[in-house]
Amino acid sequence: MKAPRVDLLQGTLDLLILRTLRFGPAHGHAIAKHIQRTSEDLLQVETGSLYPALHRLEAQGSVAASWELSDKGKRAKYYRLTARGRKQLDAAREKWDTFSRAMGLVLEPGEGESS
Amino acid sequence: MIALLNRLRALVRRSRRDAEIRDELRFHLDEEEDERRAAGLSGVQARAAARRDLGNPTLVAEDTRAAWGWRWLEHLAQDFAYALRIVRRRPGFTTAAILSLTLGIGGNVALFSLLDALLVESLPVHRPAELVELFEPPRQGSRPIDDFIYNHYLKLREGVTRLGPLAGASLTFEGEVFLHGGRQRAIVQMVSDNYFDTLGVEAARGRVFHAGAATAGSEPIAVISDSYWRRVFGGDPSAIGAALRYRTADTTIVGIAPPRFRGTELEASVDVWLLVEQVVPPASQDRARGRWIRVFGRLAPGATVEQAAAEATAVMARPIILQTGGRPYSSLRAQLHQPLLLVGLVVVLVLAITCTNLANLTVAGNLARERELAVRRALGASRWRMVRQLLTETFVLVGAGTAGALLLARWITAALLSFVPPRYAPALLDLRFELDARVLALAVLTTLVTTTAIGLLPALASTRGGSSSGLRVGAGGAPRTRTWTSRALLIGEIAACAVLLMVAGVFVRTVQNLRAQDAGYYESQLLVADISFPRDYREQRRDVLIDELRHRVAALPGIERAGFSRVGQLSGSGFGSRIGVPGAAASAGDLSDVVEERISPGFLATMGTRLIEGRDFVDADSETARPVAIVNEAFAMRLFGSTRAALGRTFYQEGGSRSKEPMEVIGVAQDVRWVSLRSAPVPMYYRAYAQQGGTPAVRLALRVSGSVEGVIPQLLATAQAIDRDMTLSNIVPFAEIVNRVLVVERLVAYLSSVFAVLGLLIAAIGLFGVLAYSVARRRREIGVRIAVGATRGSVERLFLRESFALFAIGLAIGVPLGIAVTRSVASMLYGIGPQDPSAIAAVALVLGLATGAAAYLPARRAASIDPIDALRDE
Repeated sequence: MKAPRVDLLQGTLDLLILRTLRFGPAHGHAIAKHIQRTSEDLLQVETGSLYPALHRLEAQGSVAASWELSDKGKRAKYYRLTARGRKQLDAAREKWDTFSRAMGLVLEPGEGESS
Repeated sequence: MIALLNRLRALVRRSRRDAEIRDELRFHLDEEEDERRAAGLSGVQARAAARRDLGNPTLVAEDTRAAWGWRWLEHLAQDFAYALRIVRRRPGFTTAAILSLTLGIGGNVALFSLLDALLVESLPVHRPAELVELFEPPRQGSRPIDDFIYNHYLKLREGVTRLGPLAGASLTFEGEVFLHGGRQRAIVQMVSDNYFDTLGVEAARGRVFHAGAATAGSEPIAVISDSYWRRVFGGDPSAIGAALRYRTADTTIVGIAPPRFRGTELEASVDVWLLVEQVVPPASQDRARGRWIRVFGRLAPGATVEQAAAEATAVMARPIILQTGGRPYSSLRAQLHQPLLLVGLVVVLVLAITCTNLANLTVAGNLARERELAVRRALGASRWRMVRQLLTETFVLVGAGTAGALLLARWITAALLSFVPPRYAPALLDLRFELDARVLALAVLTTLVTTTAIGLLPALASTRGGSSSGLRVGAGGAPRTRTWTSRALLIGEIAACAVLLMVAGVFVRTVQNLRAQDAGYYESQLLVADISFPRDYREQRRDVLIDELRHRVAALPGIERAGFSRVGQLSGSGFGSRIGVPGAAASAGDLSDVVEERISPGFLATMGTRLIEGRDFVDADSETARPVAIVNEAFAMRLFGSTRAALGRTFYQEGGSRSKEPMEVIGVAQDVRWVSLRSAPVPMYYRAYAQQGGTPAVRLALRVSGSVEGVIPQLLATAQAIDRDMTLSNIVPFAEIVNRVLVVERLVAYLSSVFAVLGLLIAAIGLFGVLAYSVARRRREIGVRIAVGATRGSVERLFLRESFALFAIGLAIGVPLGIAVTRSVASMLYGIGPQDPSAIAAVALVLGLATGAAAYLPARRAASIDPIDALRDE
């Protein structure tokens, strides 16, 4: 409740997770922190949604998981993108771009895209 | 594909995955805690903050597990495991619940299988729905006539084109066939040459009849049933080609019908099929007289039932009704249809009472678990999840009950069928309980409906409200709404019991009334047997043999008297004849329907029929002596004005072989119920068998001094000694004959009594349970009442008053319902009206006693509460 927070749109959490994993394997906590940090604390990932989402992606085969030692030497579950996940990311990315462009066009007519 | 594989793997390694999720979340918490600590929080604060951030860890783990998509299955397994634990924890409740459900569901399943066989199931033939059966509209009574005169069948077959060539099948009868040179009795059906073709039944071995098989000069042939083949030929294939003689027809067996096909009648399983044309010669009187052939066909392509009916009506110049569906012909159906539906209502009511009762006890049981349920909600269980959990518990009980019911249904059906007269018994093989798809479907449906009925309301009631309300409960009382639910349920049970008791009451009284009337016989210590001779014995010889049997049997030890009659009493039929009185111009209407019976000397005394005037027949009343008769009171009163005046008068029979031969009245006997127990006595006269015998079969009656069954071996031995081919059949105590006549009434009376007692017991247990529970919950309140001066008596009355209020409301609802039910079956009652006040009073008394008994103990317990204990309790 410190900073004003933006609620995640339905379905965007998967996209954010997949995008984060583009940088390489990461465990759940790291993924959450990464999203939070990169969005300048605007996006806060709820633990209650993060893990179900990760497991859903794992069940779908978009990410694979393995237990490895973290930098601090603890056992952690690391997720990494699979080929399938990469494809899914590209598709979702494209869909999101189209969507945000369309939103921009409608909300700011004549001014072009706003970042 | 990959996704499915992943999921399956996850399902298999369920426990490992669960551990992994726990580890993963713990790691997350540790990371978060480290981070907070790095931001400057103390250890404890950091840990708390991390936990706050994570939320409810159980719930998160649960949701994460759900991502794999097997949650429903896991929950189901959990629910069942939990339900089994709960069920085991309450063995008393569980046993009572499963037992009552077994009886309730078992009754329904058994009855359904009977109703199904009797009312629904069609013949095992090719496309039974296309079969069309021909009927004539009812003359008197309500049943359409299904048998035709043979010549009429030929006329119909000739003239009706829209039903293909019509097929004919005789009524089945037990006939005498000669096989391997010996006499045998077999169920015979005479059929037209296209019988099997029309039904679409092929032979299992050999061939069946086909069109043209019966043309003049063709070889006489027969088809036998599978069961007869196995029974008589031991399944030997050489049966085909064997010679079988029936009357004058020497036939050859050409085929064996398929095992499932047993003829077109429900109650008779045919052994031998013969061709009508080869057994009944064209000149035979049987073709022009008597209704004995049933007619059916198959709708021709493009024709409608209406067109065919119009065509048949035009051919016969009188209305013909068509019935489709290919149900077997049945005389039992009309007789048992209504009673079985009534019994069906009874078992449904019992199941309803059982359900209501269990629902009630479940409500109480759930209330006792209120805290547990509240804790589970607080831990994050959704309401739907809890409802499902509670329903699973009910389902376990109902499932066990259904399994028990399916096991028991065979015996319940057998018990039902034990009431069916043995005349129908050979065919009832098929009416036995069979676990087919339809019955199973019904059982499953019953289970689901019952589970919902028992479990849903209580489950919804006990999960209502937020999680905190349940945790608060403890010191206070139960919310009022819940006790109202259980009160409404109790009222329903009492009302249903009232209906059951009323049905039971009027039918028990009906049976009593029918039995208690002076019907002209003493049914105890009386044995009867049907005696028949081979058809080729001459009349004279038969009469001599029968009389010899009577004399020799009467001399046996243990037998007091012996006599015989042509038709047995209560056999359902009598010979009507027209009589005239010399010199009296009595109106013909008075004299036309008089029943004639031929009896031996001593028959009346053997049966227990009282002679009011004159004497019985004696051996001297022989063929050469003066013709004499005994008349009954109704006869004497109608023709001669008084019983005294009848003695010495004469009358004669009109028509028949001895028309106009005057008979002198030598005795007057009391009126008896000869044909049936329900019809009022009709004018009747008895002739001496020696003076007008000549039937191939008689019924012997024996008055026995000791055990009725004990004299049977002697009887059989005596008959054998007189003539080896004399057949004694149907050797039963006369009480058994009365039972058979009262089959329907006894069936309904017995079943409704058994089920009414069962229902009453269940309802009483329910009332007891609810009251006992209510006393336990209101302990404090009662303690306060007693502490502030309420007497024990007033506390007791408080609970009794409440019970009797429920009883009164239930009775007020149940009695009108019961009257409606009994009124709909008023035609089955005897000597009692549908709203008989004494029956209603008896119902009220029985229900009132049951209420009192169920309420007394809890009320006593309430009154004996020690206020100090009760108040100190919490």
